[in-house]
Amino acid sequence: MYQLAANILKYVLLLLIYLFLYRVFKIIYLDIKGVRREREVTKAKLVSLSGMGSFNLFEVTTIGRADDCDIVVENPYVSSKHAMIRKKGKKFVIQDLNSTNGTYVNGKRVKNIARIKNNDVIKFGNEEYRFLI
Amino acid sequence: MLNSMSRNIKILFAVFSILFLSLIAYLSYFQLYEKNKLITSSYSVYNKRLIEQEKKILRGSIYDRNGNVLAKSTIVNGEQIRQYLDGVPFANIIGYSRRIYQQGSTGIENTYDRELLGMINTDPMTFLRETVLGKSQTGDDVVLTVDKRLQDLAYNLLGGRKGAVVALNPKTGEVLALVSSPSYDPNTLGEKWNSTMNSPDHLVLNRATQGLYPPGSIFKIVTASAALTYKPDIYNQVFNDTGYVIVDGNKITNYKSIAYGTIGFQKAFYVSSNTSFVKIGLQIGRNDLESMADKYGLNESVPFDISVAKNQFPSIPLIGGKVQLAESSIGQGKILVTPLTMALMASAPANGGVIMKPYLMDYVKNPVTGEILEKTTPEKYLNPISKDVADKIKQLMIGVVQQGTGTAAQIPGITVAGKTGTAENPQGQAHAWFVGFAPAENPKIVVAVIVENGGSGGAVAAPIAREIIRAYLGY
Amino acid sequence: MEEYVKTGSKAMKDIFLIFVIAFMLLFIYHKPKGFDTIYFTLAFLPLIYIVYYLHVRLFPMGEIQLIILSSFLAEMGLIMIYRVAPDLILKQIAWIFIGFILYFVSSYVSKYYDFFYNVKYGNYVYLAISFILLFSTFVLGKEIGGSKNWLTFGSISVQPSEIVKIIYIIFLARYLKDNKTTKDIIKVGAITIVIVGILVIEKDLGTALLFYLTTTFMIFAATSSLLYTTASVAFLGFGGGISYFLFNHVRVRIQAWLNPWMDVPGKTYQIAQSLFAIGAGGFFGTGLGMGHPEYIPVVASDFIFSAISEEFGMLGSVAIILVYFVIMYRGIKVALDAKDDFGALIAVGLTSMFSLQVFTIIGGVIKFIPLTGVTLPFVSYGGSSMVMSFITLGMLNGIAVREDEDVEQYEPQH
Repeated sequence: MYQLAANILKYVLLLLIYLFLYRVFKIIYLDIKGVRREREVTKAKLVSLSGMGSFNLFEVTTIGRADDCDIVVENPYVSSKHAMIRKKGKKFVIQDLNSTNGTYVNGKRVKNIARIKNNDVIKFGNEEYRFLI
Repeated sequence: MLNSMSRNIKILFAVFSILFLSLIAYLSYFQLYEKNKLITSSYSVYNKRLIEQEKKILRGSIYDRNGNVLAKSTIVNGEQIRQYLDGVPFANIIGYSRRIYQQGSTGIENTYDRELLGMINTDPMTFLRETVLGKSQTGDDVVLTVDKRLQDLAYNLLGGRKGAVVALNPKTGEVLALVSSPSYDPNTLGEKWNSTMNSPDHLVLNRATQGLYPPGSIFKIVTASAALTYKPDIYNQVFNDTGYVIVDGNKITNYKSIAYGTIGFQKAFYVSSNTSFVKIGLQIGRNDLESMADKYGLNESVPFDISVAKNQFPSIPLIGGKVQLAESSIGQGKILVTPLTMALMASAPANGGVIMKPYLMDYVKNPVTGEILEKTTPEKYLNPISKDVADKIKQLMIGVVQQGTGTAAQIPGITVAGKTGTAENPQGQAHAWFVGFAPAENPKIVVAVIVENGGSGGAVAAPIAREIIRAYLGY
Repeated sequence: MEEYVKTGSKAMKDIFLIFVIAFMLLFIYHKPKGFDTIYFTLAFLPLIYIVYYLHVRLFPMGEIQLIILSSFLAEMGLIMIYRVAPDLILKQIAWIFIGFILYFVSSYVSKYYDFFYNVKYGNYVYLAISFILLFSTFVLGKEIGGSKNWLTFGSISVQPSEIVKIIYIIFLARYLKDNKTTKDIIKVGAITIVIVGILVIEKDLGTALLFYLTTTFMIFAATSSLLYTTASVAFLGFGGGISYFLFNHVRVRIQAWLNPWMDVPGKTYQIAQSLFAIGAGGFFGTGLGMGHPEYIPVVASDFIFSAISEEFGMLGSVAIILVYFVIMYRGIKVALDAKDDFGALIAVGLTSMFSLQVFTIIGGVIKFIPLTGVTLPFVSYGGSSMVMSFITLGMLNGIAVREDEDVEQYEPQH
C-alpha cells in the first residue's frame, strides 16, 4: 500500500519540483524582460514643485538620490533608493523603499504602498512633486 | 565599477556555468553507461541493494525439455530455499548461484541468473503492474534442452567412474544430455562445501565441458576429413599394416600391436589402424592437418551456455615435427579436447558437414503469463567438410560399428555409425572413447562418451553410447 | 511586476505542496516519536511563509529569489534527513530557524558594507581574526569525520573555518580593491598558501581547495590578469602533485577517485556505496522510502546528495544542481550591479566560495572529482554549514540593497 502511494507520489513530487524550477526560471526571465518593459513611457508625469522640471513616468519608475534611479533627486534628505511608482492596470501606486525620511502623499505618510490619483502632491523627504495623468 | 571588472565577473559566470553543466553531463553519462557495471561486474556483490532486491524475488525454476522440474525455489519460514530435484546427475550443468553461496556461481544458475531473477525485460504492462503494486515478483523459468531420462541413464551407466557423456541433436545443436561423473548433491553443498570443493575426484569439475583429454583414435575422423578433402586419392589407397610403424626413430604401434596386413583405406578406418593413419597423416602434411583441425574448432573453445575449456591443437613445427605429425594423426601427442567438442566433431558427418552451435537453454518463460521471453534458435557453428566428404565419412563410421572396433554399439533394427578411441595417456590406463550417431540415414542423436582410464573404447565406451541411443530412439 | 510577485508566491506554494506531500509519506514511513516532532516539523511551513513576506516588506528591491531557493533546498534537506535519520530533524529545523534570523541580520549589516571597508587597519584586523580562528582548531581542535577542524562546546560542534571563509573574503576584497600590483598579489598569494597549508595539515582538503580557488577568482576579477590566474592554477597542480606524495590522506583520496572498486569493503567504501545508490535511482528515482539510502555512509551530511539521487532519481538531483545554478546567477548579478568595487569583490568572493563548495561536494560524491569533506549548503545536516550559508546569502542580499550611510534624518514640519 505504501509502495503504491510512494510510487505514484514519486512522479507527483518530481513534477512539482520541476514546476517549481519552471517558476524560478520564469522569474529570471521576467527579471530580464521586465527591465525592458519597465522602461516603457506612460502618459503620467511628476512635476517638481521646487522648479526642477517635470519628469515622465515609466511603467516602473524609481526615485532617489542614486545615479541609476529613473528620477535622480540631489537632496541630502532623499535616500539613494527612496521610492518607486508603478503602473497597476490603469491606476498608479507608489511604494516607499524604506527611506530614511519617508514618502508622503498629500501630507500623509505612506506606510508601504499607496494609490495615487491625478493632482496628488507627493513628498520625498522634503522634495515635493505633483502627480499628473 | 570598472568595465574590466564587469567583464571579469561575466567570465566567472561562464566558468561556474560550465562547472555546473559538467556535473549534469557526468551524471547523465553515468546513468547511461556506467550504471550497468554496477549490476553485472564482480564488485556488484558489494551492492547490498541487489541482494535485497533478489531476496524479494522468488527465483525461477529450471525444467528439462519435457517439463520435469530440475530446480525450484520455495519459501520456508520467510526464507527462500532452493531445491534440486534429481540433483546429482544435473549438478554440473545447473551449478549454483552466488545468491546462496557467496563464493561464486556456476552453471545455468550463473549464466541465466538475471533471467531467473526476472530481470530481463518483460511485457511493460506486467512490469508496471508488478512495480506499482509492489507485488513480490517471481523470476522467470528456464527450460533446458536436456532430456532427464537420458541424463539419468547416462549418469547411471557411468556408474560413478570418472568420465563424461555428451548427447546432442546434430541438426539443431540442442544438447540432450551433458553428464559429468562422479558428481555431487547440490542440495547438501552448503554443509559439505569444503569436502566437495576439494575432493580428490574433482566432483565440481564438469568433465564434459572442462575436461581436457587426448582424443586418441576418434580423432581419425579429423584425419580422414583432411585426407578426403585435401588428398582425395587416399580414399583408394592400400596400406601394408605390419602392426607398427617407425617415424624418426619412434615406434608407433596399433592397439595391442595387431597387424592387419594389406588393407584399404576403409578397412584401416574400421579397425582403427594406427600404422595406416600415421602414413596418411604424413601424406597430408602438417599444414593441411592443422587446417582441418582448425576447421573442426580444435583450437578454440566452443561457444556455449556454460563455460568450456579451450581445445588445444598445438602447432606442429616445420623442422623436426614429423613425430608430432604422426602422433597427431592418430589423436595422440599434444592434442587435448573436451568431450563436448568430440560430440560436435561427430556431428559433422552426421549433418552433411555442418556443425551446429550447441546450446542448453531452449527458452525462458514467464511463469505467470507463459510469455516466452527468450528462445534460442539453432545456428550454424562450423562447416569443416563438404557434404560429399561428410557422407563418405558417415559410411566409414557405419563400417566401424558393423564390422570394425565398434560392434558393441550395434542396435538391432537401426544403423548406428560411430568411432572408437583408446587414448593413451601418461597417467595410467588408456581413456575409453566412443562417438557415434543414429539412425545413420537421418541422424537424430549424436553421442560422445569417455571413461577415464577405462581401457578399450570399443569395450567400455561403446556400450554406454548404445544404451543411450537405444533409450532415445525407443529401441 | 505583478507577474513577478505572483510567480514568486506560486513558487513558494510549490514548496509548501512538496513539503506536505513528502511528509505525508514520511510520517507513515517513520512514525514520528511524539507530537512535538510533527509540530516542529510542520512549523517549517509558517516559518518560510513569514520569512518570505518579511523579506518582501523589508527588502523590496532585494533578492527575494535567495529566500525562495534556500527554502527549497532546506526543505529537500529536511525531507531527506527525516528519511534517513529522523532523530536529527528537530536540530536541523532549529538551525534553519537560526539561519533565517542571521540572514536578516547579515543583510542589514551588509547594507552598510562600507563599514567593513572603513575599519581602521582593517586588513590586519581581519587577518588576525582569521589566523586566530584557524589556529584554534590546530591547538584545541577535535577531529571529526577525518578532518581536525572542529571545536566542541558540550553537544554543539562548530567549524571556525566557516567563519574564516567570510572574514577572509572581506579581507581580500578590501585588499584587492586598492592593491593590485604584482608585489601585492604575491603577498596575498603567500598568505593564502599559508592558510591552505594549515587546512591541508588539518586534513580539511575541501575547504583548502575552496580558499585557494576563491582567492584565485577574486584576484582575477580584480586584476583581469590571465597571468596570475594561470600561475595560480599551475601552482595548484604543482602543490597537488607534491601533497600526493607527501600526504598519505591525499594519496588515498586520489586513488579512491581513480578506482573506486579497488577496496570496496575498506578504503573506497564511501564512494562505492554512493555510486551504487546513484545507479539504483535511475532516472526517476526509487521513490521516497523505497530505496536504501541507509546503506550509504555519512548520509545525512556529506552524501545526502547521493541519497536524493537514489530516491528522487537523476531528475531530482539535476533539479538541485539547477537551483544552485540559479543562486550562483543571482550572486553574479549582485556583483555586476554593485555600486562599487568593494561590494562587487565581496559578492564575487561569496558567490565563488558558495558555488565552488557545491561543485566540490557534488563532484566528489558522483566521482567526477576526488571526494572531500565539505557539505552541501542548506541540504546537508549541520549547523555551521547552514548558518554560514544563510549568512552568505544574507550578505549578498545586503550588498544588493546597499544604502548609503549618510542620509540625513529629516524632521517633518508638523
